[in-house]
Amino acid sequence: MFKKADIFLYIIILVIGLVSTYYIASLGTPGSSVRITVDGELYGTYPLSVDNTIVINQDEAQNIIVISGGKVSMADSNCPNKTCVNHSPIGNAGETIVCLPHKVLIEIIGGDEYDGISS
Amino acid sequence: MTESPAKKVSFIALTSTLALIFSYVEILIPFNLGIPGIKIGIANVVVILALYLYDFKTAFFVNFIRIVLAGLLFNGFFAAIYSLAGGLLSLFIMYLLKNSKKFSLTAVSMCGGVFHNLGQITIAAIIVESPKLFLYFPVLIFSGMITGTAVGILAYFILNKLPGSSLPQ
Repeated sequence: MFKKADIFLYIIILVIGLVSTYYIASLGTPGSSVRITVDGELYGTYPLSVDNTIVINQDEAQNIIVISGGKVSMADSNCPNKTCVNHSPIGNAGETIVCLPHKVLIEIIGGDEYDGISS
Repeated sequence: MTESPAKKVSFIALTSTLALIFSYVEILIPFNLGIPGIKIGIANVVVILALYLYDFKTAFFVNFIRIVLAGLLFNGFFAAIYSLAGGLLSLFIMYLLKNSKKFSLTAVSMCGGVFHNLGQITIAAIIVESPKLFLYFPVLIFSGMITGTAVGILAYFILNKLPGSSLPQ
């Protein structure tokens, strides 16, 4: 039913499959909106398509979030480590930027569904 | 196999009909894994048999007749175009692999399944002008591997049971 040389065919196809899976997974689907949560509570949801600047003040802590050209970034924060500010802008569904000291979480939600051709 | 034109014509007619019935039966079987557009492709058993018992030309006719008739009868025009692209690419690849004489029928069929899917998605992406369809690429490769292997194993057993068939081992 099988021959030895079959292994090569199976391996080649399997590798093509895995590489394309990895490639497509790394592309990501563009998100539609930005959800911001502060200390576990929803702060607000903003469309990715509209350029916007959101300033979050909690006592001393301040975060400035900028939506620009379909991507979100933490423009400024007065947190000590600045990890969130150094994070590159995000725009694909599921990506996040977290400012741990201020408990601010930025999430991209809702990739648009691609219409599959069935049968 | 000894060739006479009448025998060949009746072989093509018979197998095309059989393939057409398989196409129809497949529509009746609810084979839904939650992924749209995945089919086993039982009709390809017949195409592989035609390729191994006769030649590329015979398999081509059988496949072509099946797809055009299935398109006219129940699959619809666009499905026929996708099928044609997939079926012809798959047959061509299977023909090349078979002629290399290095691979088993099962592996040849596996590649046929994969390339059938790839041919279809390429034409579909061109027709709907959406390269986004290629996001489906990995799913189609893996499903093609599985269904192609299943079809190949089936064809292998059938071919061995046919009288007078000499399956290259």
